[in-house]
Amino acid sequence: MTEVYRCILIDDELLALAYLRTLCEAIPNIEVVRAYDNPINLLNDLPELSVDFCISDIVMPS
Amino acid sequence: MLFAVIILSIVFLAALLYILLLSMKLRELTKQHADLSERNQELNAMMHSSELKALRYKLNPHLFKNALNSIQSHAYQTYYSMDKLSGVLDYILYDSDQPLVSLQEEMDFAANFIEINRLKLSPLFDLRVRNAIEKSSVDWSDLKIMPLVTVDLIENAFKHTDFQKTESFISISFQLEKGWFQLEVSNRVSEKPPLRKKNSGLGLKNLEERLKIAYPDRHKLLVISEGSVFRTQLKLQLHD
Repeated sequence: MTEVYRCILIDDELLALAYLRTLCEAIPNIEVVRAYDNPINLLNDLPELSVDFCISDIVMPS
Repeated sequence: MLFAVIILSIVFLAALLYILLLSMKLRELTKQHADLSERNQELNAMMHSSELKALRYKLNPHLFKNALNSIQSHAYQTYYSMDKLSGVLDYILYDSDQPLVSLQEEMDFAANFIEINRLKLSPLFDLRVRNAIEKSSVDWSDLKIMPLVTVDLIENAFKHTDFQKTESFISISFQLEKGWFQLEVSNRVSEKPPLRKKNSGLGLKNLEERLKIAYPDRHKLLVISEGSVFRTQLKLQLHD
């Protein structure tokens, strides 16, 4: 079985986030753990998450 | 004396002529000035309108590009969810009237069913789906299962979760251990009392009846309510 990569998504635009999520779900060995629209929430949760990588927006509020 | 008068009149005439000349020149200049200021106004107006045009062309393509991106995203998600819904309908129409289907078919159905339910959720919602069966090295290609056995637990979770609360979640996990299939679903239930009190729990009761007939002594159905977290666990000993 191929390895499954765990990933988190962050973008302040919800539509873009939904699109990104749909695109990622279509890739069999990528598992989207969670999606965030606020970088602060992500940083708060990060210690409890076990993820391989993050797909991030470049410029975001706060 | 006469000489002086003649000279004076000549000077006077010359001055008159000069004044006449000057006044003609002045009239000409005034006209020129009027023409120029009119032209100036025209040019100003033209400049403003071309500035406006330039602004318009600067503004629009960007907005259109944004709109195009949004439409593209909607279109892709429409295509994606139609595909999932089509899969679910195929399964319900053509496969689910058999007594047993392959575990793979039921798992594909469950995955599609979850994706369809995801449509009404915010992308931020904490929905965890773990499929440990596909990751395990066990050969499960020959295993059979009762069709639609996974639907009730998954549907219940989506029906009773309060999607407005940030701490809400739904967690769905599939496992396979020594021939036992396990589906575990947990979610934070909404504190609002369910509207259809009479009908609530009907899904689970139906499932129990079906399990009693199809899997006598080979199933376990656990329903645990811990505070606001609702957990259901279904275990089935599968047929080869």
